[in-house]
Amino acid sequence: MSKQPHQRGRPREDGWILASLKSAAVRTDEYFTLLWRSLRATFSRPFYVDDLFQQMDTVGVASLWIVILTGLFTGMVLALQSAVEMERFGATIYIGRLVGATTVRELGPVLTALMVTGRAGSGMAAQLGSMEVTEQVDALETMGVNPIRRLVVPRLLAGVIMMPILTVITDLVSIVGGLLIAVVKLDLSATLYLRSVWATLQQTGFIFRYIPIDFVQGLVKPVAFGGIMALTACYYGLRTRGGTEGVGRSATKAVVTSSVLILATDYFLTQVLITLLVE
Amino acid sequence: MRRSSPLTWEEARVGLLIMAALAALAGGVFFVGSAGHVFGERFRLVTLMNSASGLAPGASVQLAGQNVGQVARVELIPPEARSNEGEAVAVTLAVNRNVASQIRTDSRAHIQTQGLLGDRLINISPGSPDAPRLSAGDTLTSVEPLDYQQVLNEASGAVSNLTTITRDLSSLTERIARGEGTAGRLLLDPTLYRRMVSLSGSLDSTLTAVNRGDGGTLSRLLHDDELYSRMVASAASLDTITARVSEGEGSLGRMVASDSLYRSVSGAAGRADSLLQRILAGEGTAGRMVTQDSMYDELLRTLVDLNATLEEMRQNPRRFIPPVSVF
Amino acid sequence: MTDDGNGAGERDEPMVRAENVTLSLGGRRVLDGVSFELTRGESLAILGASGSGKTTLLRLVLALAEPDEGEIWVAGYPLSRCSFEDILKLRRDIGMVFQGSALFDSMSVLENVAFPLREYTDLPDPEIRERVHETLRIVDLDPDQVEHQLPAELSGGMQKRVAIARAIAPRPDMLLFDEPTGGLDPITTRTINELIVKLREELGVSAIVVTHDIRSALHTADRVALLHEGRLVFVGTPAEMKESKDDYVQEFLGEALFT
Repeated sequence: MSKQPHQRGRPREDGWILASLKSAAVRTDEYFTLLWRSLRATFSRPFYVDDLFQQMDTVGVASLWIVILTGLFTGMVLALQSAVEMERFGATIYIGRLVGATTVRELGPVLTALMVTGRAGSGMAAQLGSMEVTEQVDALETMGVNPIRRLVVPRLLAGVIMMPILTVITDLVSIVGGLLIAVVKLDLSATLYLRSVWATLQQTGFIFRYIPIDFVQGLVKPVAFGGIMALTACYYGLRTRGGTEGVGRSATKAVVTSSVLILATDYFLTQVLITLLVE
Repeated sequence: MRRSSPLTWEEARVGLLIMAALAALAGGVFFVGSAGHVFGERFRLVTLMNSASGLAPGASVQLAGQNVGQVARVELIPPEARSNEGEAVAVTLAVNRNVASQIRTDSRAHIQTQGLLGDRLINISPGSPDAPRLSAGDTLTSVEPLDYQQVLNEASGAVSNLTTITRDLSSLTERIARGEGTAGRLLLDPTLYRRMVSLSGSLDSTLTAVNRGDGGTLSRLLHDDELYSRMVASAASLDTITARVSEGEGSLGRMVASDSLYRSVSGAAGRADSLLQRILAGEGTAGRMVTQDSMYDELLRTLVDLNATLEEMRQNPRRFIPPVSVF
Repeated sequence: MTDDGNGAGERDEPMVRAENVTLSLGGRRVLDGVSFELTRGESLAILGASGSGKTTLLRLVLALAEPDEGEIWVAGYPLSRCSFEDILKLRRDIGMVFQGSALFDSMSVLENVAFPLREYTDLPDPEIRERVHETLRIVDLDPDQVEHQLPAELSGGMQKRVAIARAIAPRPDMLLFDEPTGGLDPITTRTINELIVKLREELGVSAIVVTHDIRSALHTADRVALLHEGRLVFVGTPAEMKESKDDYVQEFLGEALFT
């Protein structure tokens, strides 16, 4: 953001409701301005490929382990919990369905997004925050570099690209986690479990004949979540004020805000996707 | 920055991650696709039903219990557009082309329930070889699924009928055991036996008289050989007749050669059989005869009369045997 | 702007001209009717107490912020009427040394100094490296020793030298220094001041040095300006400043020289 916000004259004091409403409106405006400028910068030259790959490494590879652990334990606990209920009806063969459906449609994207936000989003906000307070962002600008192009675009794209990839890995590991419990604790056959997973994913139907709708759902969501995570982190990072303490505050705000935004977006996105894809 | 050093694993990490994810995704698409049979050619059939019974797009379509496709669409038909009264739902089925030859005009589609959760699916019965095949877009005839409520209602009627029958049967056997009716007397009353014994005694004395040769037809049959010689002559002529018969001459010959008589006889036997069944069921005169008491009394009276007649026959055989010649 | 920033046409224009610049931040008037000029090759020191708006003035010159009122010309171009692209071009001819050095902490010294070169030129790697080494030697650093170090591994004084190297690497027309000696020990302060003088002699650039250190200002500047509560209370040569009758100037001189 090249222009510092400033006020012309001294405005009349508002009540706290009006004041907070106004500041929320201003922030929303700033947020979407940042999004708009990033998108414009994304589709024009120059494009910083090296920075993109570095960010993809930071977001993707750095989050790989927590994402694998999250997926594994989520899949295992899903299988275990549902086994308790389903055993009463002798329906443990349906565990594959439960794990497959909830993971691919819902838990995979959301949990991955939350974990990556905690891992990479906070880091992004902190890094940009410290760059902002040590005038590195200004330094970029004085050297003729658009900070949005150089700092925000690679992060945004890295989020948008890596989040679905990490989600696929979470889904896979989670299904394997469920398989582990199904085979070891519930004495189900692996083939039966896997067939039940595939069967439930196939039930929602396909688009373009070959692509399961559940996969589309499970991959569109992380794209949006990756964008939200990166944009929110950049937004709070770049508006960091107040030195080292401000950096910490920005990181916290970035994580909290993106988590809430991700969960809220998830609901609406699910609604939209179901309406669009499942007729 | 510009590359000046050889590639390291560090630099390849992102690429490896992306490759792993794409491989997982491709595997997923493949397995889910093969679960949904999307990799084979498909054709569409429509079936009209009174009720979709909770069938949803994506439900599996089975042919003789084997998954062969999916329900593509379930649509309500507006009342004006229905070709048949009551067929309110059009279900579009996407069926693998490789089983197309199994589905003929006499194949029937019906909704089934499967599994614990009651998943709905469509089962198609395989067609017979002489019926023509169905091709894409054709309408497959449907069979209404069993309505469990209706089945239960009918079953309760059947059960109450059965109860009535067993109650009647038990009262019937009770009455037989008490010696009521023909069957009861037959089992418990010795009168009939005693009369039979006396009947056989009378018969015995009659035969003794015949043996003694006190004239009469029967005695002469035993003691005169004229009958034998006549019979030899008859046998000779019978021989010629049978020869002609075996050659298929005359009515008798045709009787032997063709089976029309047999068929009419066996038909008659069948009718007799059904007649007997009706009799056993207590229908008509004969039926009532079997089941009602009055017949016993009649029979008893007839036996008494017969006894008296035989008694008289022993004393005056001539009155009873008219002077007739055998041939 | 069709021509390059340092084209011959603008030779007679002053490097920077500010007229009646006024700016409020957060309801506080930071600059109030500030006017000054910087001719080519000249060095101006802007003095003032902390929070007197000195840094803001530099940000305005770089178009990192916009004034509420007034206008700033850089190389003859009015900033308020320049497009963003024009401003980027103008900035190429300006080297800025930030107060906290503002080195990119994820990059090595080599990459930091090479950064503007890579942005502004299409030079191949070896040539860029050559120019980085040359530049590092100008700021009295041993290229072979520091080029692969990260900024965090360097002392404050060395960081400042790297920051200066980065600013001068593309050979700008004008250098802006924001508190170049802030937070440094007296000995390092003196060497940095000497470096600034040396740079001006060797490269012949214009310079604005914002500082609260009067010694620094008197040592390095052709002219001195004193900022007080958003207003320029004095502009003149160091000699003129010492003879000024203005109360605040005398107070500032006394305080500063005393401590």
